[in-house]
Amino acid sequence: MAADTKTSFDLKKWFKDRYDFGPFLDLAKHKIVPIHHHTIWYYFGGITLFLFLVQVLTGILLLLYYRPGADSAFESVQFIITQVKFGWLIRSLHSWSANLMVLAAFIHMFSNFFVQSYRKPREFTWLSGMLLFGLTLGFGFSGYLLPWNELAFFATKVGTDIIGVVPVVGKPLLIFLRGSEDVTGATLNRFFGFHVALLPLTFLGFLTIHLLFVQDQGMAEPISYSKLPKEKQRSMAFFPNFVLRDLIGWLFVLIILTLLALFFPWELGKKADLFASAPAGIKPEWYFMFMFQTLKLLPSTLFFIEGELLGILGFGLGALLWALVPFFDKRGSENRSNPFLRIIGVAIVLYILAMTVAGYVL
Amino acid sequence: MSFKRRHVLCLIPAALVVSLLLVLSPYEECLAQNSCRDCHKELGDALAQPVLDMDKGDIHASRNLSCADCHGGDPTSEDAEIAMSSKKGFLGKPTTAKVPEFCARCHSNPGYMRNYSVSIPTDQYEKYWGSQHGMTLKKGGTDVATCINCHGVHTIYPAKNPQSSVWPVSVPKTCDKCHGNEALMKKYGRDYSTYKDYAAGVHGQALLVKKDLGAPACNDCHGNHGAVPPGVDIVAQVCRECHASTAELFLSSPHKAAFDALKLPECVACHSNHRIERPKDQFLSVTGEGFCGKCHSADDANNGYKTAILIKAAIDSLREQQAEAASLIDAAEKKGVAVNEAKFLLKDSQDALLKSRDAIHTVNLEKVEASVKAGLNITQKVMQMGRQALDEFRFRTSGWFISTILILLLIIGIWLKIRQMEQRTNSKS
Amino acid sequence: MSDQKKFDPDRRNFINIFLGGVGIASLGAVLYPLISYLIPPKVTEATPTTLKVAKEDDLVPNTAVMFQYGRNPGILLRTADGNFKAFLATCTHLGCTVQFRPDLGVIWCACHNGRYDINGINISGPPPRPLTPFQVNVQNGDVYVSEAKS
Repeated sequence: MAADTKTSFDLKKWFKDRYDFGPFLDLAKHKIVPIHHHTIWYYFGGITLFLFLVQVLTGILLLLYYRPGADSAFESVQFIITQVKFGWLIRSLHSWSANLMVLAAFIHMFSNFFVQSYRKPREFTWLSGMLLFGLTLGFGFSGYLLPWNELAFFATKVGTDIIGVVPVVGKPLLIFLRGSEDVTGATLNRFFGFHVALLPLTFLGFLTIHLLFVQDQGMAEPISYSKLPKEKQRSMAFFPNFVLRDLIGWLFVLIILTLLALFFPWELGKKADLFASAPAGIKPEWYFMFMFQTLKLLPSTLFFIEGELLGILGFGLGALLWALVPFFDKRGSENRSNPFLRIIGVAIVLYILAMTVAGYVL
Repeated sequence: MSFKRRHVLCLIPAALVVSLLLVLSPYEECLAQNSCRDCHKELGDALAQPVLDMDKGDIHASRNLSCADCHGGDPTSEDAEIAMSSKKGFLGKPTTAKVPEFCARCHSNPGYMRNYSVSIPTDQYEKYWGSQHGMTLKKGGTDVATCINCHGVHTIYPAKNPQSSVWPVSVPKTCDKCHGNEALMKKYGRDYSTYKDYAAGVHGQALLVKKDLGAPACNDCHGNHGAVPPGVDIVAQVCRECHASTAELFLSSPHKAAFDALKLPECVACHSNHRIERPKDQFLSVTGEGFCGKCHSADDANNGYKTAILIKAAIDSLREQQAEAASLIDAAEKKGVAVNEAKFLLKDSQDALLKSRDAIHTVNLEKVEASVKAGLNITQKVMQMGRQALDEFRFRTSGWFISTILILLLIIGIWLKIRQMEQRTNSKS
Repeated sequence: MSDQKKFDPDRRNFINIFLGGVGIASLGAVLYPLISYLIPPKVTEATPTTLKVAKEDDLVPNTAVMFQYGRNPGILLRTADGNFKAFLATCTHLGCTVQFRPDLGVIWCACHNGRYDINGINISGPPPRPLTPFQVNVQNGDVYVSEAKS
């Protein structure tokens, strides 16, 4: 945006002589963003990405003072929010941003489901997105334990217990996750490792794939839009028109994020006590609530199988079908809308909403 | 009968070793052959009860003492007539009046008791006769407590065993067996609601509800074997066992002489004895439930009335300031500002309030005010920290507003830029 | 907006300058907390395990000083024979802060006359347990306390 075109020209040349970024710039230059009444949903991918970047930045900052370990984790978080300048802000931002990121990812995923963006040739974008979503939940689950406070401790206990119900692989998986039979300091160290090394690396890999696909294939067009005659297909350039709009969205999110962090500081609570009895009303994070509530409502045995197990298997199967939906949606691959899947999608959204509300109200 | 057959079989080897056993270890043999236990078990009901009771972990049984060691007689004899004959030293069941002596045969014999424990006291018998219980028994009252009423009969646990009826937490209930008996207490002109009063008071709450073994049970104030109600003039000496500094302050105050002159029972005069209420600052009032007004009136020659009002005002001011400081800190904490240091200091100021409340026992205004002032100084510091914390929150909020305005301006700028750009491209095309 | 204003170079310049200015200011608003965060705080560690509480020479035998350990009070005392002992100064009965009584040679709790000997063992009164000890080290004339290794 610099007015001095002479310098920018020179700079471009300077770079071009050393490495030609041309193809990358062309990629951005040629990409267009369709304009239609669903354009708004295009922003949620970007918002999720922005929140991820906030997570990376605040996460690295927290790492400067955080100390994993059962007898130092809680104290170090307390130290961050009391002794370190703006530590309260960084910590609160990290917690709020994590939640908003999950929310944005949910919206991003469902909006793409409803406009059938996953259809040919974007199956891989959808699949990598699903993996990213799973990893995001993994970030949430592992990060929740790191302050080593009472609520997180028991939520992790309950959460990992559920995994242990799965036959054959459940028990070994449980031990792998916990690092011991029970949730202990060993679990904390493990979750720390997952949260700051394993998950970010994997996430970055899939994120690169996801973004490259999006850039290369361009924004998915809704079926109705793709059927319009060419001259009626309105669009804007990805760069700079859409990117600047994206930026406005990010800035709004930043305002909301800091507002939440300041006026609704994320509480640290009490330090986890391995021997204390669980306080009443242990709840998982809100994005796990619908699953938790379902498992709670299931009868203890259903069709001769343990209700909880059935629920877990059901969710597992559901997630698998959801991830493979591009391969089921034959109508979609023929560029036709699929009312049946739309009804299913609406039902799933309603179910998640109802169960989440039930989890907090009941 | 199976035991008889067993004995017949035993006879052969027994005959060989019995003489040796008699010399080496008399009660090994007793246990091996204890006709008291065998017969009484067979007899059932009330007569079998002592045997069953002894088997519940009784201290005497666990130290290998047998029935005959207390009751006499000959446990080696199969014949009840011989086993329980006075010729064999059989004592049977002692009468109430004889119980202390019965137990004292061993328990007041240091030489004998040393076989079991070197630290066990042996002065209980002597003390007992000095107690209200013992004195009444001597006068022929047989409905008073002897050893067994408190310690049990055949299932006696050491006092340090939590199952024991004289374990601190159990003592009040044990005493209440008699002291809560309306008819019995009326006979001796005693209060029978002591347990209820005690249980409702601070000490009862601490011991019975919180199970704080440091809290006094009946015997900690009244003594146990030498139990008597403390006299009016030595109450403070009993209370000072724990409330040392308070008693010190009281004893050095002009109240000591005044209370003695009026025959007021020191601490008890204000705080009561069994139903001791958790102290409130309201107690210092000269009106209503306040204690000071009970003796002092506005026309006091010695200024007591005025002093009471001023002392209460001093304490009230500290308490109120402290509440204000606490709410300030609370407000800051709710806003997410860290106040750990202030909270630590607040605890200090609460300690200071405690000290000031203690200091009122001097009934000396200057001393109370000095103590209150020390507390106020700390409280002021806490308040300052609380205000700083709220300032910090204001700083955060204003920082947020400034940044938000900047970002909003940036948004407007970008939006203008987009419009400008798109208008240009539109008009170009 | 009227048509003639569309290509007004002044307007374009104004927007660019405005954007640049606000952009830099916003960046400052974001960077200020981040850079402040990076400056090491006064207390440099979350859970200092070792604390310098006194100078050896400042404490004559048969006296004690109080210190703050984390969020709890501690007591460092120098015994009559010159040794140092340190304990958590919280009475094990009801949590009052204990003090050293040189006249009695015991650690004393004013609340209910609980007493501990100079090894922190409860010797009389209501306290049910000994005081929690700290490990004491003396180095170059400074007295350090740290959590006792169990």
